[in-house]
Amino acid sequence: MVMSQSSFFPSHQLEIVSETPIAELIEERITKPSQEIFIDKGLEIPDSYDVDTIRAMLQDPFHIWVYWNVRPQVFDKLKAVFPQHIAESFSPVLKVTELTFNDVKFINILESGDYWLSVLPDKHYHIEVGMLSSERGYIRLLEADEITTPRGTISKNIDPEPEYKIVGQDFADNLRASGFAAFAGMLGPERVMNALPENVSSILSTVSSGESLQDDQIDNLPPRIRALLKELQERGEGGDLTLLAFLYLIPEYLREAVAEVEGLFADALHPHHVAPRYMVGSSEHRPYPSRNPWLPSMTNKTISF
Amino acid sequence: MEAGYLALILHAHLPFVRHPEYPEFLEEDWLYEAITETYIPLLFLFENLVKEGVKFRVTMTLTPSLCEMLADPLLQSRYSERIAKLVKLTTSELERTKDTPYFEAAKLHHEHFVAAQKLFNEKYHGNLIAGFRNLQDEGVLEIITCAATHGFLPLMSNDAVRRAQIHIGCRNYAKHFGRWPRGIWLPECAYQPGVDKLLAEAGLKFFIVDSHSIMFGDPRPRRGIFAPVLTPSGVAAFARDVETSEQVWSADIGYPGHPNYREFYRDLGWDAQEEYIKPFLHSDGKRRNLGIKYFRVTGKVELHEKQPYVPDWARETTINHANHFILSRLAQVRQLKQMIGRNPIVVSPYDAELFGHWWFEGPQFLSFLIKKIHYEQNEITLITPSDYLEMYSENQQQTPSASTWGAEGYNRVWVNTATSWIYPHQHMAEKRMIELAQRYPNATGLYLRALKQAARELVLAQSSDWAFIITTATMVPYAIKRFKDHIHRFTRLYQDIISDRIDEALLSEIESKDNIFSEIDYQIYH
Repeated sequence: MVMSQSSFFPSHQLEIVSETPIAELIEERITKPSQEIFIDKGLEIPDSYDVDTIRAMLQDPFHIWVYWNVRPQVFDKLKAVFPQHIAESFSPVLKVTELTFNDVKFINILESGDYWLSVLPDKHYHIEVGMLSSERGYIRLLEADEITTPRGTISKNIDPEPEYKIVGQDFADNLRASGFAAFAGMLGPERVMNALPENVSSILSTVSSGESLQDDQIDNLPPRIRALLKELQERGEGGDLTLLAFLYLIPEYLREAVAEVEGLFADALHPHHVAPRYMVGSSEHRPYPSRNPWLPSMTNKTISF
Repeated sequence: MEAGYLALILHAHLPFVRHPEYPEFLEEDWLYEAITETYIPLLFLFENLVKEGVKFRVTMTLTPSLCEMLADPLLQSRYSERIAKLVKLTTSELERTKDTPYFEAAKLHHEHFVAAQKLFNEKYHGNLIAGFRNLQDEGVLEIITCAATHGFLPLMSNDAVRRAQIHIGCRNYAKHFGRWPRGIWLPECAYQPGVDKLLAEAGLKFFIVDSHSIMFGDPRPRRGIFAPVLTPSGVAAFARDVETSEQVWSADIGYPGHPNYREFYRDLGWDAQEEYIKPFLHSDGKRRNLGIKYFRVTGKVELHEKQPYVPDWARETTINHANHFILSRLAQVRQLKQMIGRNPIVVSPYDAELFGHWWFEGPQFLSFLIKKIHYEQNEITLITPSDYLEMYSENQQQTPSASTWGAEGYNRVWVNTATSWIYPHQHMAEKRMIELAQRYPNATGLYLRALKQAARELVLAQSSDWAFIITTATMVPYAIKRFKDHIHRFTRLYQDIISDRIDEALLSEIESKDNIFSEIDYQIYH
């Protein structure tokens, strides 16, 4: 095909003869990368499966996703065992156990659904679906495989083999050479504490040493957490409970406190940069897709059977 | 004196895309583009180096799904038509761009397409795998395998289905390359403790992880990422080097962004007059990339301000970048040797498609790099992970951290609010496949065919590409369609098998569409 001297490249002594200006064509392509209208939405798949199931999946060191389905007949059978007034006291819950410290959390759920759990790194979690009753306690229905969250940082463990033992400055040099300079600056817990905002590190020091929180420390907490701890204090339920409550709330607290420190989220080159998505993304931060409003629930007593 | 080693690892993967039910299909273009722009240029590069007597060793993954496409007669035939069209178009372009600043680029493209067509049709008769196999047999390439359909192992429901992905992948490798693989590229470098046991069962000796997998592993790594660790099962893990990745991958400082290199986003398929270009597009007439590009990056300017591509300038820049890369590696290995007490290995994995497709000059860069390593210095040697394990069989034992090489280093790209809906369906299909294998051991006849096809549908549904595409919001409807199609077909087959009502006509239709892994053994799920 012989073409005339006229061409469709705009940047030299060549005439544009395209019916659509090049800049528009390019702009259209960049802003609408998929111009094709795709009408094939794929073959039909089931909405759900008539089986009882629960599965937990790791997303990152701070999040586990769990989904479950419990068929109605399972609940019916369970409820048929008890007198009606007791049966009606049961409601479905997700039981999340952190196995290292045997911390247990119950979350109100529906018979079928999913949940993004806020968790901590380097921990082992056991997640179940069950029924919880103030009258009769907890009954397990389904359990997921145990799931371990990645550490998300360097290990405390040093190889005992002399050939592979590495500590202190040698390991810091190793980290820098491997592209992990930010972690080289964080060796040793005192450096971690120094890196945190003062109001956070002060509370962590107090809590970890087993002392009670002072009023001014509580006043520095985010409003929601402060309100809860104040309420517990006023009820006179004591330092132990306050400590326990605070331990549960640490992830929430750290997220909110760290978010206020300039640069930790926004600046990817900050040595202690925290990716914002590690701080949010759990179901506590989403509207719960249920008929009933959901609030985080924590037991204030040990359930025994 | 030798100071260290460089392991270049090129990971070539595409999801299995094959639509015989249509005369042409947009997403098949992924394969055709990769063949023209990456796989053939790499074959040329390696074959020329061998001819010249350059000593080198490079590692490549050719995933099972990619191998199956490269070996498929329908896709080979469609590619042959495609390259013929490109040759015809660039012949016309030579005439059209004569006496313009675009002529040199047009000539470059034309010569490449003519050579590609000859290599594809005449030398390899459509099957490029033969070329890579020859290079492995000659000892310059070590080809490693991958999970069957690049399935994301940590998010599968149990070890039985993970094992199946690994074994199906290894068997397919043996079919194409005539030997059992030594190494494996875990899809997305997705590792979790326990996966190494499955790799050991499959007879594999090493795999690749991202840097933080070893740096955050337990105990602390004595040699950082510059020597492998031995996982509890004895399989070695090699970690990606951060510095070499940044030099090539980084959008800000990486080589491909240099102003002299060819601009990816100015393509003749978009720039040309509609009437002129229409015969070379798909029958719907919609504009798309053709791989013919006449402009250079130029700098941070608007696309319509890009300047004509000058091949000689790009070539000079490539030489400079190869020099820079080598000097950086020399400085790196000299320091590391002292630090870790032995010759370090710098592991540099890249998606193969970076070289040639995204970065046009990438194969040329590799050619200069490999030649310079061979001719101009003697401190760094190109080796493969297997070579390093032969030199250094004693390594630190460690449990690497769960990790991936995806954004943020863990599983978020594959499990998030946009993709979570996939997993209940996938897990149900996995559970059912195990049930089928247990209920129907040693099946024959129609049942055998149906069970094999059910296994194919499962592995195709498990492809990590669907979730990746949904998250990165590229061809989302296609990814959703593919996942749903495979779950639908699996579910139908499952129901037909357990109710003893296999529809042979439907089965034949499905077999003809999803014909991956003719050798698949459903009993791997037992």
